[in-house]
Amino acid sequence: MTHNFDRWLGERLKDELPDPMTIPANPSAARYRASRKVRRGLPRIARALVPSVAAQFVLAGAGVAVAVAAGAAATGHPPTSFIPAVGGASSATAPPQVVVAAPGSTDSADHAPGQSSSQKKGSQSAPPVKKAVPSHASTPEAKSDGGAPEDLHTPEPRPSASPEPHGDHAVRPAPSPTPDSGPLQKVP
Amino acid sequence: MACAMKDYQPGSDADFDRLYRDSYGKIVGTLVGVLGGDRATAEDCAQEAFVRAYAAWGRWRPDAPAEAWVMRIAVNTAISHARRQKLREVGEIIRRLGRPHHDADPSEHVGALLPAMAELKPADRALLILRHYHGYSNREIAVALNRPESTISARLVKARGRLRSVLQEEYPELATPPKLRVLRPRNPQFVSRS
Repeated sequence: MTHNFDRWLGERLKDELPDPMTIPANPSAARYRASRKVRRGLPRIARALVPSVAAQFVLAGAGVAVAVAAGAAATGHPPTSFIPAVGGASSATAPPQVVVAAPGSTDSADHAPGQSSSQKKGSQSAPPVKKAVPSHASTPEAKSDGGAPEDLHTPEPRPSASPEPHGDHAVRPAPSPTPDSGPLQKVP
Repeated sequence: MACAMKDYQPGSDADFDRLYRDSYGKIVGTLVGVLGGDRATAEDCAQEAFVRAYAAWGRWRPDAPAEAWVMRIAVNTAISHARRQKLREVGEIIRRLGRPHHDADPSEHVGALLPAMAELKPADRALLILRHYHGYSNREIAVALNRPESTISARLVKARGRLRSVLQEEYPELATPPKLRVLRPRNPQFVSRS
């Protein structure tokens, strides 16, 4: 009777379950192929060089630093730190700000002859000029804002103070805020 | 099990494709039974099992049959799915609070065997299918599921008995006939004395 039941069970299972031969098995449509593509996507050399996640983070940070340095070299604007330095400018931020004024002045000198043709360029060089504005007209804005970032920019007047005798540089910052185009016309 | 005769190289993509082609149908058939006839879920679990197997394909050792190894992953995946599904059903029952449930489509089940097998544990269903549907021996099932052979034998006997008792309502011919009492004539000497 047990053998009969076993036979009966086998026949019923073959009736009710699908035949394995009729189930299509196409590896190209299988789900594991997707993971294979992801795994093959990474170059083998890179995976061999950077096996650990921590090393990948370090390399990513180095890559960002190189990109920022390259961008700074290309544009002439050094990266500014967003961390407020309490008690004066840090050694990292202060020297680059000195550099800001010099290329900014040359840029503005370059823009000076073509002022009438390209005001867009003047608007592009707005950020360094904006920094110069509070430096010269420091007293009213510093009183109004009174924030720490303004205190950070206090070392800036020294480098920008050197071109002050030229007079052009003192007047030029004012037009950089976009609505006031009047002072720009006064310059020439 | 024919898989023991085939040579697979661990970590080889071409060999894994071959393994998929050879064993996918059997695995889906097994999981259909383990999951009570739900073919879509069975195929889903089979795909998930092959994803897991592919992730570990480099660590597979050729001393064990590859198909048995994939079958074990697939059965474990299906058992985990059935467990989660049961928890979900319990939550659904609590949510309905005894209201009638009409979601099940009776036309999905052709016969009465799969609903009866649903009364068993998923692991026991897998044992019965591997034994009676694929025709594996107890030793091969033990290798496939990484269990002792004696455990497999004992669980098979138990699962078979349980299934039989469930099926007796639908199939009375499966009921074991009661043992007939053999009436022997009494000892004539004793009879004569009395």
